[in-house]
Amino acid sequence: MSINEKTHWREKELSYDQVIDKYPDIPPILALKIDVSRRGIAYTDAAFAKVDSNKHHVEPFNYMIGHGKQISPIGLFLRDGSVICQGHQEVYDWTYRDPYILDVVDDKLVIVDNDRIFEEAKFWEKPDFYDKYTSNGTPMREIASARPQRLTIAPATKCHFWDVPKEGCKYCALFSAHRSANDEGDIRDDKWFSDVTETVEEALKQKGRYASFHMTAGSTLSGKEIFDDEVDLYIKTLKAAERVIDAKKFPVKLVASAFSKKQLQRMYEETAITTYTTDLEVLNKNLFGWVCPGKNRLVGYDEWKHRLYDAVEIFGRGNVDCGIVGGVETAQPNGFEDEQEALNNVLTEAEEIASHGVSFADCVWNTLPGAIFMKQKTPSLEYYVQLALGLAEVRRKNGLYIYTDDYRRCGNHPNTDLARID
Amino acid sequence: MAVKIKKEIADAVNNPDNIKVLASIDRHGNVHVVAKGSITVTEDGRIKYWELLESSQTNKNVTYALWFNKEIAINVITTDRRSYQIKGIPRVNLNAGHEYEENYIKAQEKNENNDLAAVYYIEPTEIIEETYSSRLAEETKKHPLYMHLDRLAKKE
Amino acid sequence: MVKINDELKQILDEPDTLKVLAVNNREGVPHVVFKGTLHAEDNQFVFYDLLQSSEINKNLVNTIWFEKKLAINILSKDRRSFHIVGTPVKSVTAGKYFESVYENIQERFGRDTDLNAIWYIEPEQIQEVSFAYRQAEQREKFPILAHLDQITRRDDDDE
Repeated sequence: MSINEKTHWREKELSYDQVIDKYPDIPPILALKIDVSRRGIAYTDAAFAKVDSNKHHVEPFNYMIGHGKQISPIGLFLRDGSVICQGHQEVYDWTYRDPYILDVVDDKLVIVDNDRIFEEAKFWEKPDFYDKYTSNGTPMREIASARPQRLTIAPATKCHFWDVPKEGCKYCALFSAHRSANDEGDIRDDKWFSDVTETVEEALKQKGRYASFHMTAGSTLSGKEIFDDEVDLYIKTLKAAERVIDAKKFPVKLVASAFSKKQLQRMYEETAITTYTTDLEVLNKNLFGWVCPGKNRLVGYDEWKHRLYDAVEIFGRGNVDCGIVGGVETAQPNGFEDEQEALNNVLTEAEEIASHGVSFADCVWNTLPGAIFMKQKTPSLEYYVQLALGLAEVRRKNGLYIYTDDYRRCGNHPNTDLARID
Repeated sequence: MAVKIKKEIADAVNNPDNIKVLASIDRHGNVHVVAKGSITVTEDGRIKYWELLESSQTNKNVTYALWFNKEIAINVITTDRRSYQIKGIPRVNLNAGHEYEENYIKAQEKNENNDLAAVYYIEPTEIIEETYSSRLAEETKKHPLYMHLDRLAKKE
Repeated sequence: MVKINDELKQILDEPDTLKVLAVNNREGVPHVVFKGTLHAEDNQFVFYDLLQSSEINKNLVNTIWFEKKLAINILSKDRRSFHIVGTPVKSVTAGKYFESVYENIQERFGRDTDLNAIWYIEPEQIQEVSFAYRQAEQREKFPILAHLDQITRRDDDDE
């Protein structure tokens, strides 16, 4: 029995074609990317047979735990130059919607749904540094990961908002291997920082690959002031990279906790950082308290917003970005039941925040194993399309750029993809 | 539906001495036109060009055209004043991967200050002979009455 | 309306300068052609449209009727390039002035040449879009829009 035969989800929401007709401003290929991100994509055997681990980016240590038992490339290219940041997705008992299918037709990888071929796709390519080792004998792929155009280093693999059980963010499956109380995550000592230097140096030998240096980590709460130790860790990591990047400032995409103005000033003055992202996750104060209880208790929604505005004073308008988990505002039982009401609420709040010079990067919420919300039902495609279009309009109205989280330097945000034509 | 580009026209496009321009529209319908020296015709009959500037209006417009299946227009003028217009729909934006990196390196070999925002591949949909003499002959044949009468006056 | 400066007028008058006109049709599809006769007169761009059946002519008529805009690019011999956004404001298809231009055209291009219309275009925006100029502008305005290996090398050059 297909999932639709169980849940009848296709009868309960507008189809892809209906959404395209209703919203002519959404590029069909972007609507497909949103839908695949929302529903996931399951590989056929033929698609798995196309995976060549010598060529394709297969992540042996998948920090996005829960994407499936079979290891697949972690993302797909579409022909418009955009990416889908998803690998093969398993189907579970609670899966509400059939995933798209990645199949092979005429020797090409294609995205299929209900026997209709939508688009050709290609696997992401493995970074050249992936099979190399540092002088300490560390596999470089354990030091850095990558998307097609960004180099990623995770300085901390433990999010300490989970120190108090269930206080972590409910949608999140990141670093879920390190949630137990005794687990401090991976060790970062001098050897690690030296490995970072060597790995970045090696990575940059691949000309034309990297347009951004990305850092993100679980939140580190310790220090004289909350997040002080996290700041130290990012500064040390950046300094390790800066040893082999001979530029005063370069494109750094930092997705971090809500640092205070003093902390941000320090980062800006002591490192090459040019932009900053911190995620409010859900643009509603009450829901923030429910969805992100640890963030709410230790910082709070209003203070998180305030820190975003402070960041604009340091980095400038359009150089500060706020990530949201698009759709999580409809999670039940406390979220909005009516999608239109949810949308109006989110966009009104987004407009207010954007007026202070902050851009948005919306991720399409997909329920993942490892997340508290893993059995929730996500909104319709129509909702996500309206959200992407609405946030793009908010950005335009406020005259903001979005280069730090755009299609090239991140690739995971439908609303920032739309900036390509502004 | 893709059309085939004749060898004579492909050679004109591929000759680096000839000037090529690309016209495209933005999402509001405003037309934009610039010279694009990197335009070539590939062996498989597609048009290819290097977009060197991420922030260029052409880059935004060609992305828009790709997304919504809109046509762009290219014209090439040869040193002996032949001119051909090719309309096409951008189908692929290549901005990462080894094939892209090869193009990136070549772009830098031309000028080390070059970055490369994307390699675009365009499917040709229409080819129009724009060389004035050819167009004149065509108009004379199709619309023989499109002329001023003095050209028909008997010469003394 | 913006002013066509003397430098641009001089470039327009040079014989090796290429002039390009791009005008959309009714469906919004651009059409682009080289127009050797394009020049400046009294702060307007003027060109001689020789073929009545031309696509450009139809598109220009549509553009003037519905007050839409067109684009011009001027490319000098030394690869400087200027992009102009303008509106066609007048089309002259008869009258003494038309006749004098008609005769002039025939002297230049031969007796088989006809003249369909003289088009006048009012410039609304003139921007230099020479590649070197735009590259420097992008570097100044959006310094992070580059690959990391470019940025590294760029800083070496600046020092």
